[in-house]
Amino acid sequence: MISKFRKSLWILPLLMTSGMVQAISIGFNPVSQSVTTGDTIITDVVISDLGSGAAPSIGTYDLDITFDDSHLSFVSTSFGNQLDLFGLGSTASDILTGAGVLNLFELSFDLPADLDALQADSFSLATLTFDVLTTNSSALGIVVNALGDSLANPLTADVAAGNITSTDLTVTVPEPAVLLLLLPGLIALGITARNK
Amino acid sequence: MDIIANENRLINNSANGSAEMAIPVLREQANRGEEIMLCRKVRVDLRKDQASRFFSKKDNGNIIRRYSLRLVFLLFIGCAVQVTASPALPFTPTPGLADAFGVGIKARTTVLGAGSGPDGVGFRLDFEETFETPREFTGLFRTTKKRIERFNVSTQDIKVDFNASQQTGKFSVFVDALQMSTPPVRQISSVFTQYEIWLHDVIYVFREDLLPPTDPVTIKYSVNVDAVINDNAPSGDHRGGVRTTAFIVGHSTTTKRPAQSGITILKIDNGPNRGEGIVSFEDALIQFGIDIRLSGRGGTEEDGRIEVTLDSAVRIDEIPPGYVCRSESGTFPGCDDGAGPEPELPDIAISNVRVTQAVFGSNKLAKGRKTVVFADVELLEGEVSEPVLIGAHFQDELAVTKMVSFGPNETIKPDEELELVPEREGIGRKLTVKANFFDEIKESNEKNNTEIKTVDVLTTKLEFPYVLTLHPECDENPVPQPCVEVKNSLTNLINQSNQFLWDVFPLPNNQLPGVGIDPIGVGLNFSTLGQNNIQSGRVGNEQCGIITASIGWIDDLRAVDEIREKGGWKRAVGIVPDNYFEYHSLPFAIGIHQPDGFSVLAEFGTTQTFIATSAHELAHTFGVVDGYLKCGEPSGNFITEAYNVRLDTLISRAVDLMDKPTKDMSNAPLWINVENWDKMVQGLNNIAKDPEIISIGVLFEKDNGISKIYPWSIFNGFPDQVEPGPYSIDFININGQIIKGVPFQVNFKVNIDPLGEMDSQFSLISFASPFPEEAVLVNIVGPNREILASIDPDSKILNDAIIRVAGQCFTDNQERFLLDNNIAIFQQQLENNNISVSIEILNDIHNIATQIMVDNCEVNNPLKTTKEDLLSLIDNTTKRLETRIVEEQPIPGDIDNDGDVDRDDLNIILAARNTAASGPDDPRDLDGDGMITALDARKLTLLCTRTRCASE
Repeated sequence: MISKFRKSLWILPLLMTSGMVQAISIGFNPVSQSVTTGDTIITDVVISDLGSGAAPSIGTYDLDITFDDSHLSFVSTSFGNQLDLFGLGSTASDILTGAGVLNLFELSFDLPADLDALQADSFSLATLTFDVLTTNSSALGIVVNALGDSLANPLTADVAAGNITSTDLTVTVPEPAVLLLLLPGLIALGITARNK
Repeated sequence: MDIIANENRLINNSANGSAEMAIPVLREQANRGEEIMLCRKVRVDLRKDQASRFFSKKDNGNIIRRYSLRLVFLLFIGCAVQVTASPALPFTPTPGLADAFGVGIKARTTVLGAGSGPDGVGFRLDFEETFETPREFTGLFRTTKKRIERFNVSTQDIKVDFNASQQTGKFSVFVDALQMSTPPVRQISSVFTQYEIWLHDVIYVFREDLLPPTDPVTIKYSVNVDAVINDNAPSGDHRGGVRTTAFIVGHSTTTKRPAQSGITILKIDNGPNRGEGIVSFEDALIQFGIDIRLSGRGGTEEDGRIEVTLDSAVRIDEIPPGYVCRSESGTFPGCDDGAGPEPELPDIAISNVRVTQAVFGSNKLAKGRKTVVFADVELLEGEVSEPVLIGAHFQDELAVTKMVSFGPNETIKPDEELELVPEREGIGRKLTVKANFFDEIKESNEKNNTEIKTVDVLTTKLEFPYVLTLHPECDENPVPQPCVEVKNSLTNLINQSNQFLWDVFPLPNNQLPGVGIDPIGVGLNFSTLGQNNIQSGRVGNEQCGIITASIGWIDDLRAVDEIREKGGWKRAVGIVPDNYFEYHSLPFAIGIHQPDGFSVLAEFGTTQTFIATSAHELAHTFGVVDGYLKCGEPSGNFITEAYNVRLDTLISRAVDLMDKPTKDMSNAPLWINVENWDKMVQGLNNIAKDPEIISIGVLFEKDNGISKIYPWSIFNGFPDQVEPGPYSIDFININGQIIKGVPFQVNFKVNIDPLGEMDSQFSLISFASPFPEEAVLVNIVGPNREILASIDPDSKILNDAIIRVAGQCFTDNQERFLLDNNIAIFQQQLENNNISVSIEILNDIHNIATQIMVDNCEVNNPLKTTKEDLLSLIDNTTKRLETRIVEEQPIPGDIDNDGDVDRDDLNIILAARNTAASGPDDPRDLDGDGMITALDARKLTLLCTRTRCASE
């Protein structure tokens, strides 16, 4: 009896470990980009730490992507395929709901079992394209309006901001070394001194 | 001098197609000094030949399901005014509308011969008109009529004043076609709605000193008619959209004519995708309409809207000095209408409505019994030159009407009769009696035209045998003459008794109660004296006292009652000879009934005595008590007024059949009083409520399960005793629970004489089972509890009954398809659990059956369905379905309430994404978190009734 009890105690930490669920994360990939003003940047909105071949999977999401609209201009969205596992269609929309606010929404029609079994544990929800308008550095933010699993239960996620830095395109004119500048003077002084 | 045109000539010329022809006539007449009337309203009714032209387009087959509904509007505009004045008027016409200008609509919907095209599917029209200007009128004109032949729906007369500050006035006509049926209707022959729209005041101003006029002055009106069609209705209802054509009768919408001064401009705009144009008319009469073709089932959405806007006219604030004016309405200050005083409108009223099936003062009626409604039709004000149509109808039933003509100085038509039959059972049903039934006569007060009575209509039934009890000597051979006489006179006696019972008992038409056995052939010799110690007499004065009678009559009563039981009757009347009761030591008796018993004995006596006695004793069996005092003393009460609906005669001073007449009432007829009538309605209703059983027929095939399911039926009777076995008929309630199971055996054996029992490939299962009221599903379950068949009994039984309607029971057997089509729709709706819609379709089927089937048609095959059988079954099914609707739960996710969960519902959620729910019951907030979010959308995808939330 005692041995059984001890054995149970020994197993308990293992169970606790395996039962712990790592927090879901949503962020940008790449997290930070440095580009030249006038360029176009492409960034993925990625979700990670989902179940691998198991729940939780994502059945729907509704995110606001915030950006500095004086720095960046939204161009387009390309939605991922992990909420439409069989290519039969999902419902998705990308709408600029305000200055510097892009709403991303996607709803899967796939069955919960399929989503749980077949959806990747980390994947790109959408790929965003922005034009860089000015030289600046600004953040890309994520606000989760709703995130639901395959059974429409709410999920929480840690969000990580991204960063875009842009710089002007400048040509560096190399400066002559100080000694190089002094050299003609020194030569001149030497010549002068020898003549004297 | 007034300028009044010859109205008839204007009308005639206008009717020829051009007001241009009329205007020179006016001018010519004015120049001749004749009186000319301008801008009178012209009313032209759409004649039938015109209507048929409108409705003759054929289905081009492009649309799978297509319906045609046309509303034809007659637009009457205050005609162009051309008067002469020189120089021009000394005031400047200003834009906008004076209060004196207004527009009105007189709407009159007429549905003639409506119902179906050659494919036999009807439709329902639903009109609603709203007025968007500041208005005196705030109600709605709304009618819903279905498949009614030659039925004038309604008339409304509404005027709406324009708002001067807004400078525009507008009204709109809402058009919605509901409940379109599935097969196409290629042609609707004669359905039209006619509207008259007119400016209800037109002001004419003339310079007094320059008349007759020489130069024209123009007052111009512009009227826009916008036909706005909702062709983006949600696909749940109008799948495939709505195709519409707005049109002006006789003109294409693309026709453009140059605007001319002094004429009315009519613009029809039927949407950017349909093109638009301005059409000008010289005619004073303008007709326009809208043709709506749905490619899907109708719904609650608006299908189309016609908006009429009067957007400009000349403003006249006051009449300048030196000018005279005319105002058609006479309401403009300083103007008269030029037409003399308005004729006084009549005021017709209905009053003193009384309803009778035999007695006055009862609100209990027998279903299916002739009913007479009396009403006084009064002319409270004015005069009517035409007959007044009065009508009456029970709730949701067809109306009966009649014309009533008032003579000169006649102000009341008392006790006008209307005969009708209540076809539907129900407590608190409304009986509407109305004068000026279709509002055809314009009245000063229409609120006193209608009187509504609330009545209880119950199903009643009485069938019993007359059992003749004869002297024992009648069995002798040869039979003594008195016995033969008694037998021979019996048929006549029974006929008369039946007739009286029908007159005074609340029984449906054509049901004579005493039927079932041939009394001549069931002679029953009454008993001998037997024992003499049974107390059975009455207590009282000379006829009273404790009388010890023989037990013999009890033996006979028992014998009669046994015959009743064996025949499955609810009551029985034993006819005993004249000297019967005396023979049994009851010299004063003529009839006997034992409390709580169901059989009675009545002495043959005279015909009148027997009739009265059998009715009296039968009434006892329904709990009706004697009206006379103890020992047979008459109460002295009498019935002041009653009515014999069979003979259509009024009865006054009658004696209740449970009472006895006083001496001065010795010649008064026997009848029934209100109190006893009500008891009889209840009693006969209880009898009609035999337990309901279902007759089930299923053919099993060895190794293949169910081979055939025969027609089923329900009736009142007794269930069969079935040999239990591993199979079962399970009755399932709305919650999916088995409420009754009838186990049975399936033997694949057959007895063939003289061969004996042999194996068979088939086994017929046929038995009658109790039919629980709350059963919504019947499962035929196999030996391993596997469900072999699952059947909605209401759907199947009604369908089977319709299949079994005999051809001769239709007025035209070709119309059978009307029932077939509608039962198919009914079954589909029931399958989708749309109970409310199913009940509406049942209502349609009831109306169709009422119209296309023959009353009391004779069928040789008792399995055939008659009209009465079918109507009764429909009523019964409706009641059963109504019990379901009480328990009907909304389908989670069915936000548009169309019976399924699909993309349409999803779109509703998505449209409201990230907004707050309207409350805890907001169907969009599926997770109940107070917000409508993507989570609700995902939750809905899990509730969708089809794969990936596909729409139907």
